[in-house]
Amino acid sequence: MPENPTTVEPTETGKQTGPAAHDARGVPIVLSELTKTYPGQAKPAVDAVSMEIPAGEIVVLVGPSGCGKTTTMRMVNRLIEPTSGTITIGGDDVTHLDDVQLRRRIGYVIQQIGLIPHLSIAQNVALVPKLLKWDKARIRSRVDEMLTTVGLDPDDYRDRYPRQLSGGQQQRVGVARALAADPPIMLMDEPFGAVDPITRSRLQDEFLSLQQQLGKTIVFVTHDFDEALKLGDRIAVLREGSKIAQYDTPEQILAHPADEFVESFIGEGAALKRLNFERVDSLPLQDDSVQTRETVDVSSTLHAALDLMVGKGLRQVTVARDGRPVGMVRVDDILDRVNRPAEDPTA
Amino acid sequence: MSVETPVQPDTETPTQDETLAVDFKSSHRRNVLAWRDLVTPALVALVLVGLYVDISRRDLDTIESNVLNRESLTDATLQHIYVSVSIAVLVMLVAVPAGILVTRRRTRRLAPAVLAVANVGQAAPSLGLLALVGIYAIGFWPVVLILTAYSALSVLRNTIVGLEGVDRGVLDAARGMGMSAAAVLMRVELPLAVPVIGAGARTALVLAVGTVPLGYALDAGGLGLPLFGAIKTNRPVVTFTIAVMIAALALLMDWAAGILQRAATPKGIR
Ligand SMILES: Nc1ncnc2c1ncn2[C@@H]1O[C@H](COP(=O)(O)OP(=O)(O)OP(=O)(O)O)[C@@H](O)[C@H]1O
Ligand SMILES: [Mg+2]
Repeated sequence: MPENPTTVEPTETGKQTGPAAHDARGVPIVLSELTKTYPGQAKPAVDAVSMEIPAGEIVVLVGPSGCGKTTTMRMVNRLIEPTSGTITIGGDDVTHLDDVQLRRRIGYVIQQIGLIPHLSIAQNVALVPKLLKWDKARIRSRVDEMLTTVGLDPDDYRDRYPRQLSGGQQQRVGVARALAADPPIMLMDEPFGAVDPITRSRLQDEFLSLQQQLGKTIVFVTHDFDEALKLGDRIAVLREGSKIAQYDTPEQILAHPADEFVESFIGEGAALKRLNFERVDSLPLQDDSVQTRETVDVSSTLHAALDLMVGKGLRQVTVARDGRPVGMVRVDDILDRVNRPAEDPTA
Repeated sequence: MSVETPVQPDTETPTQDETLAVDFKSSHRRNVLAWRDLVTPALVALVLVGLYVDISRRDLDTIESNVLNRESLTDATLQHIYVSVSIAVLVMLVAVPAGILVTRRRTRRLAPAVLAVANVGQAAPSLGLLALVGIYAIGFWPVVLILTAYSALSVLRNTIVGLEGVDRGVLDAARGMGMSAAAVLMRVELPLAVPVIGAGARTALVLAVGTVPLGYALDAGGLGLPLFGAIKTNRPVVTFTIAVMIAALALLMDWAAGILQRAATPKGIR
């Protein structure tokens, strides 16, 4: 997903730097040799995991059911105590911090949402600010601000109870509640797992644009690899015991899967999926002497451009910037790119 | 969407031009009281009035009229209520904390022992126990204590069920937000368990109303003494009247407790 050329700076291992990375509000999380063995079990659920989660990035943990994603994540806010190993947040070892205080600084969103049924929507969102003893006026305006942020009209929703909301609306409130006290870190465990695909896709889009502004450090758990591709600045593909099979940017994982396990996780259509990470203007544009009926914007993905051509039975489409044609892209150019991926996407 | 009506906190004044938004408001601010709440007291009143009319037409002998007069019946009824409510309150004070204790992670191990004690309390023959204790001690407290042991199980069991029935996701989120264990208990678990705990409390109260008469020999007061007196002296009219009164009392107390329970249930889950 190369950014606008002016903002892209090449970094080590082709790491993507969105605007998020420049925001100071997120703090890095470092797991080292983190292990959890549940009592009475022979094999550890999380087995000596070491991982660095850079400030301001979305890191997605993806892996098969039961591989230890949730366990790994819940050790970060100490809902589960590690058997051994350490976690530091912004350099501080979390085991040296008061666990209750720690959790107030970490946003937490789960699949079951967990809105408190007897509290109104406003009271749910106000939960952590209240625990942090914000004054009333500040809490009230913050609640309204957060509801607006997640696309719910405060006047309409403030006084409702959770059961009076649809699943998707509840999930929005869940996100608003987690963000209310402006924590530098968010832990999200399959937050969009329980809603229909269309709502999920919309929640994902909104979540991404929200993160553009907020720049939180986010650990996001899913077992949907496409969701991981869409949301992750980096993806950690985990196998049993939370062991890291590959930890890299989505583009790199698609282009160079570390092994068969990762390949099997990517599933069919890796080549097509890769086209989602390249924009039309990353191709050399053909001259625009021939005008076609259909146009794509320069910021469209190659995937979208190809989809349009396949759908309309075209061999080429006009590329436009701000509505004005600047050139043309041909099917062959895209096929070339699929078979010979750009060596360095940031070059 | 919304209607420009002046805001009137805590009152409901449905207007003709109600929109969906206003409808929503009234639906989630369901009142504690409803029309159907009048059914039980109305039926009970009907029965009692019928009974009263019937008795006032009869010629009562001295023994009968000694019992069946307004003063002594009111006295006995009030005492009965007092003893029963005392038992119910004591049951709550003992069984709810016990239920909380055995649902905490650290003290979960105590559950079998606590439940066993409560089971013994209920299984022990209360009448025999009352007679036995009556040899050594009489009055209010022996009766209240024995009957508390007898009816504690229902509240204990419901407290456990109520607390364990709280959605795991809700607890996980509450803890994950940074609520302390005590805050989760007081502000999430107990409020959400109110309906179930309340149902147990109502059972305990009804049990108490029905078993307090068994303590007549211990002189704790209530409708037990006139009831068993009438049985001994073979006065079926009195026996019948008192028995109906005890039943009516049980119904009314359950009814009142039901309303109390609803009032204590948080709005969002009512
Ligand atoms: N409280 C627990 N006690 C004992 N074992 C547990 C506990 N929680 C999880 N486990 C086990 O630890 C392993 C990892 O569980 P975890 O919930 O972390 O998996 P996951 O990757 O989140 O799976 P899913 O995608 O299904 O949510 C599983 O084998 C699970 O059975
Ligand atoms: Mg999980």
